Amino acid sequence: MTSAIEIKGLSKTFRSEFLQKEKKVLSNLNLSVESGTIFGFLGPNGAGKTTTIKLLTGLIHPTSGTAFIFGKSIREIVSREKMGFLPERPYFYEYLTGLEFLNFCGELFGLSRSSRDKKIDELLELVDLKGSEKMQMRQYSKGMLQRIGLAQALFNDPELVIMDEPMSGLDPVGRKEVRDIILHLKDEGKTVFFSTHILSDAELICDEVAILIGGTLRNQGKLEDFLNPKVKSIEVCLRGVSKEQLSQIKPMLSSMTFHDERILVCLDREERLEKLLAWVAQEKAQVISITPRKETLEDLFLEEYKVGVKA
Amino acid sequence: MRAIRAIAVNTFREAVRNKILYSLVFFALVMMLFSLVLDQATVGQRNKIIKDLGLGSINIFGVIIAIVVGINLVYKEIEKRTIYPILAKPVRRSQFLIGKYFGILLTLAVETLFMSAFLFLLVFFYEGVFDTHLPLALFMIFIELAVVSAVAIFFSSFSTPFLSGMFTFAIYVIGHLTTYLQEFGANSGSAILKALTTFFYYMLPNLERFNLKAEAVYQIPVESAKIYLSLLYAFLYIVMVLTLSVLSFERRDFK
Amino acid sequence: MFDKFSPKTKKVVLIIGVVLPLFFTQAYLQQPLNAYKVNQREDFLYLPSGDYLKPLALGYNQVVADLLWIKTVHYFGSHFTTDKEYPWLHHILSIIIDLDPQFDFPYYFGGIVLSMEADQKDRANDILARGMEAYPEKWEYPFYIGFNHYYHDGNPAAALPFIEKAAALPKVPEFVKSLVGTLYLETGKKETALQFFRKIYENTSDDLVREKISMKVEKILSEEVNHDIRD
Repeated sequence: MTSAIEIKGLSKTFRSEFLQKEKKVLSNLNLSVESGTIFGFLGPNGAGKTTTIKLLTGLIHPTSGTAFIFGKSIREIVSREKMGFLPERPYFYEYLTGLEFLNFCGELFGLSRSSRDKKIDELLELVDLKGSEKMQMRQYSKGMLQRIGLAQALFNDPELVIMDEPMSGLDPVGRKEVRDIILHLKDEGKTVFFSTHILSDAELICDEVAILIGGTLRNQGKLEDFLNPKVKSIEVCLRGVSKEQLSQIKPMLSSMTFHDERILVCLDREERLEKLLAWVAQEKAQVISITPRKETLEDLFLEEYKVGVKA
Repeated sequence: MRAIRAIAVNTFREAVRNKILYSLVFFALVMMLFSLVLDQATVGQRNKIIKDLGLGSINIFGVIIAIVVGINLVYKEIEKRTIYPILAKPVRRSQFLIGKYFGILLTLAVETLFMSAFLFLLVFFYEGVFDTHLPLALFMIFIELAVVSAVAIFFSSFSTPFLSGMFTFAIYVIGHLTTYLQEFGANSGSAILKALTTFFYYMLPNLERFNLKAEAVYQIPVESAKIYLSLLYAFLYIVMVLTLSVLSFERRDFK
Repeated sequence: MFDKFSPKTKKVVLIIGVVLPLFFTQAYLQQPLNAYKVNQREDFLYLPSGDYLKPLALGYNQVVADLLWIKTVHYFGSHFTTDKEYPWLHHILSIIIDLDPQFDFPYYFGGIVLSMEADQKDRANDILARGMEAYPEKWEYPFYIGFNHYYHDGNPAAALPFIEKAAALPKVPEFVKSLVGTLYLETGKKETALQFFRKIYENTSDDLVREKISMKVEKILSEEVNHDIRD
């Protein structure tokens, strides 16, 4: 089975208009996205995520290298037939109504009027824009624009949906809606490739991620392979113990922080928790909370970022 | 083909909902009404000035609309990123550009028809008959607009609206003077100047070919062969300019 | 299918296969199109009269007058070298005068060119009459009017009042004054002519003029004597 996306040695160098100064935005990117997965494309701002996505959608041309969408070269127009694209902060013709815009998209795909009407109805239902379709799009809110953007991206029942920062600029409710739609697409057997710099969103739904820093791929893999499932550390919040008392068990703690009468201590091994709790009972102190900390994408990201900066 | 049509219709829809277009058309109509006042002021030559000013207004405002709409529509699509979802669909850039061009043509056709109807009524009220010499001149004005908007599209396929507007307007002005330019170069005695003016003579559109305003006003018959040749000329020129536009648009990166 | 080619190949194919043939064909079309003559357009007749043009000039009367003047010269030049017909010359000159009455060259130009070259004596005199209004102290305008009457129509009676007027203006050359006398003579007012010549003779200090006038007077008198003898 062919991959949904196969990127081979993709590089992009931009040349500034006046000084002809070259800036390498993407260097030798190799990436493969299995079909049927939700793929998170992570990286800080300016890492080259949007550049990669524009290359895949044919908006810019690679300086070298190539990529394939379901085996079709991105240079060929057919590569875009099974693809849907939601740009970053989408913005559409202000003077058109949502309905006119979706109808226009249907015409671009060469669909007949009846199949367009049917599809539009379905999509409006999916993105929850029923009732607003006759408004001009300049009256739409950010969230509504994002949703109409999703609707247009899904018009051709794409096998692969590419989204550039689909959750940025949305409120928590809007983010949840987008997440739900992405999961819904996965259920339908589609591949979703989206870029984000908001890691918690990726962590919640991605099957696989790639981390891009400074135009270079740092890491790619299944999320569970990436993240150590074991508990990394435990944070315990205590009350009613003094500094002196704590110094008795200092070797066991990896760190401690004082905050008014509360003390936050950190344990780096799970088995030490029992000992600590026994000690607390003995000292007649109170336990306010116990929080196990697993490795998060953020930790990984920061680690990669540090490596990237050093290199 | 369907994609081109969809883009053309969409362009038209976007253009006619823009207020700039209405203010320009409004100005043109005011100019035509103003010709009624001037007509009172002229000695002899009654209602001739109405046709002169009418044809002139339709022409010049048509050119302004062609340039303003032509340079903005492509640029706005890129600036506001509305082009992204379109090109990410199986739509060629050439289809996009040609669709835009036909959209502008449609806008200009509707606008020219509307203003022509106004002029016809004005002349009808004045002379009591429908002037049968006007339609040909009006049609040729539209052909000139078609050439000018192709040039506008060409410049906007790689340049900013401001520069495109300046370039297109310059070509519009020089396009009416190419014959003089060539004569000037030929008589100058300088070989370099002659080569340069000859080059421009063949490179730039000779827009005087589409100027039949005097013929319409003085009711001078025009040879049909001349019309056909002019139309063929316009067609070839437009296709050439649009092909060049597509070439420069194809390699463009939408940053 | 076309996508399979590299972008560079596509570009070369399009330029050689499409753009160049189109360029040469459209350039070639200029030849047959040039065979059709362009109608000579005389757009002066679009011009409303100066009274109405004045408010339209928005205060730039002199500038508009200058532009029209350039156009006039061009108009004259193009017709001078071709058909020598000048139907719109008077119209545009009078507009220039309306716009800028102090602009004196159009008066001379109109007065001389309209009468000598265009053979439109009355229109020339109309322009000159307006010159007299604008510059009452200039002797040339009435002189030209008189000249036009005399030269064109051979009508000394019509010419006389204008030459008389010119002769009375400052800086007028002596020949104009003596011309008045000649005209008196030609219109049969011999006594007035003699009186007139005598007056010039008394007022001038120029010996050459005195000599000429005395010759003239002698001639008149001798003709008179001869006339009497014949009778």
